Amino acid sequence: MAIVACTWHPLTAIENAARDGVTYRPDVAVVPTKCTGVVTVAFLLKLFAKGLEGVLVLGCADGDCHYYNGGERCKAIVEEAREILEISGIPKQRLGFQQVANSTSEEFDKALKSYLKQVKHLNIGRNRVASGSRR
Amino acid sequence: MPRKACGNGVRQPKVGVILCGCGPDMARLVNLESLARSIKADRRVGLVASGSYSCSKTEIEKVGAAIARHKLDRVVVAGSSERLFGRLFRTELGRFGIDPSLVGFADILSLSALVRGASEATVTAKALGLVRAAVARLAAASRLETVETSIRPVCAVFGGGTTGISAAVALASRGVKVILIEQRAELGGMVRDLNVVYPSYLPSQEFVEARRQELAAAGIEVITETSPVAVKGHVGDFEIELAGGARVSAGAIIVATGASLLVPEGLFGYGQNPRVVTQMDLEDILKRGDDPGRSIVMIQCAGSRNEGRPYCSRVCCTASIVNTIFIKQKYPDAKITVLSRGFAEYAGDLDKARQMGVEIIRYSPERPPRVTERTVEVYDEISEMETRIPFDLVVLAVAMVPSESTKALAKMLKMPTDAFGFMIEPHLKIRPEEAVPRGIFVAGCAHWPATITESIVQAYSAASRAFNLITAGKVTRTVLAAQIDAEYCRGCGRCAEACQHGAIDLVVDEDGLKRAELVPIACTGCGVCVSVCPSGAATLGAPASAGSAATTAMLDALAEV
Repeated sequence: MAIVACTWHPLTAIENAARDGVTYRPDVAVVPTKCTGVVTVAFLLKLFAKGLEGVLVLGCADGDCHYYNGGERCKAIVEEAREILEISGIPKQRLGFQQVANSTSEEFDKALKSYLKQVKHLNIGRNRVASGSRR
Repeated sequence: MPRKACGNGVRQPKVGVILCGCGPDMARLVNLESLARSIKADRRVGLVASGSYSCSKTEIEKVGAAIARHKLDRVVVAGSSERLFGRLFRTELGRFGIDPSLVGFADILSLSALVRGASEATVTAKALGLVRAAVARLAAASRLETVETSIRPVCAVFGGGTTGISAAVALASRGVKVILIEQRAELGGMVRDLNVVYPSYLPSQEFVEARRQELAAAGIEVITETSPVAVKGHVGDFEIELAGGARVSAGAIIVATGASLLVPEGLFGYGQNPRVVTQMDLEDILKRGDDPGRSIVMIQCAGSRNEGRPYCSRVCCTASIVNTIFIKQKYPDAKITVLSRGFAEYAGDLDKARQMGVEIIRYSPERPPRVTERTVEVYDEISEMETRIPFDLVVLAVAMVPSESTKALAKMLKMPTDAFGFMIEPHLKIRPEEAVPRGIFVAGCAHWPATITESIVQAYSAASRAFNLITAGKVTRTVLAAQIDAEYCRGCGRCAEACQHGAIDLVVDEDGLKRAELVPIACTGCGVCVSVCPSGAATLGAPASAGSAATTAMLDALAEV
């Protein structure tokens, strides 16, 4: 799975998580983006087209954007992409969006755990092993 | 901003990779040798320089020599994060002719190596993905030119109230030319309408007159009875068109257009009962020297701290208390009752008013006071009793709302506002008193109800920020800014609408076609224009395909895990 992370709070939180020794699944690819306000529906869908089973977008909290309203913009974009996923027969829960309120590792841990809970029944990352398919 | 061709235009630029071990840590977790080999296998990579402390002076010198030998113009630093080492590597590599915009980072330490629970092979593959992604992105990137604009050494201040005057005087005393624009005929803003000001109890006229003299002494140009109707340009060079046709040029703008007061139509009988007035009406009565009556009931929080307007207007507690004291001093036999929902902690002279015999009753929003013809009925929260108070005058402390000019300016300057119409800063802590567009500053009640003291402090803060900008003489921008390719732009204007920084103008070219034009100096590189552009004309540093290639490279490497 991939995490699309804004370079401000979320990416810093991920960096801190690594330094604080927070354990999380190793098959997570972090895709840094300058601000989640740049993310487009097409980009998110492309990630799924490339065979990813889960994508979590991490933005900054409302009113906390370094530019203006990246997190809020992204919320709407993710919602739109989720609708298209649903139409395409991909469970929309696979595309997650969480807002990270600060740069601490706890915030990242919380956001990732809450996403994984939401997709628990979908066995993300285990399907590939089971079917032996290559992405 | 023209894009420079990379290299000689034929040869694909080669990327140098600095592979740092970040001390002994990484070597334990990542197979650095195999990683270096895999990186080298990429045909876009011209050099892999491994080291264990690449951020050290000696190793950078070594790398610099290798860069010169390989004639590289772009470098990926694979090791720790850009946040921690970006500035160091950009500065140091700059000495060897590497442009800061052509230094990329792959944070293999915290995005791969330090993630616990993975095997060495997994970690190494992930690290490779991160490096390949950075290489793919950088190989397609183009050098960004430094944009520079000079700052006109003039500051325009909108609003001649306490805030505007304070900011103007602060700037002028530092030698900056200031032009103050006031909508009304007289300066002084809301304070001018008050009777006395806290804490000096000086007549407000004296306060305003003192400030006006400071203004005159500082030689500030004051334009009254007009307001801006259009603001064009960008940081350093704003063109302001005033109602009536006059034009003003300025390098920076301070917005101090303040707030106005809610007209409490229908609240507590206001509008129907002539004995129900607002606190500002009372100020007027007292200023004229009229008798307000011997039995006065004040109702606090009229129209604020409710569902529609949940905020506190901050000044009314103090204003009401000051008026009770003023009345008590003049008419000791006056009976004054203040119905409050709890006083703000900073409300001045509350104890003094109590000692002078002002009665305070606490009410709750669930059981608000009811105003009849000559009595107010209220449920006292403390004694838990229903009370009936006869009155000569009921005074409402009404909510502060954004002034019409503040609302108009917010629209004109593309300034974000909160749900109530007050202007908001992009970030309260990182950029206080600044507006989203660069070169514009906000102070006083235009961005939140503020007391006189707070307004003055904010005015000084805005003035010092404007001063820093103006004395710098110029603004430069070397960081990532967006680019708009005129050939692909179809002039739909979505980017201009989405841009909160005023960095995109929609212009009509010689063929009569609409076209988006970037104002690089105002651009923050947030990339929102890129995401809304339907034709791919707006890009950020590298073409969109480079970002896609980078993501693919990373995901391909991950698939090997």
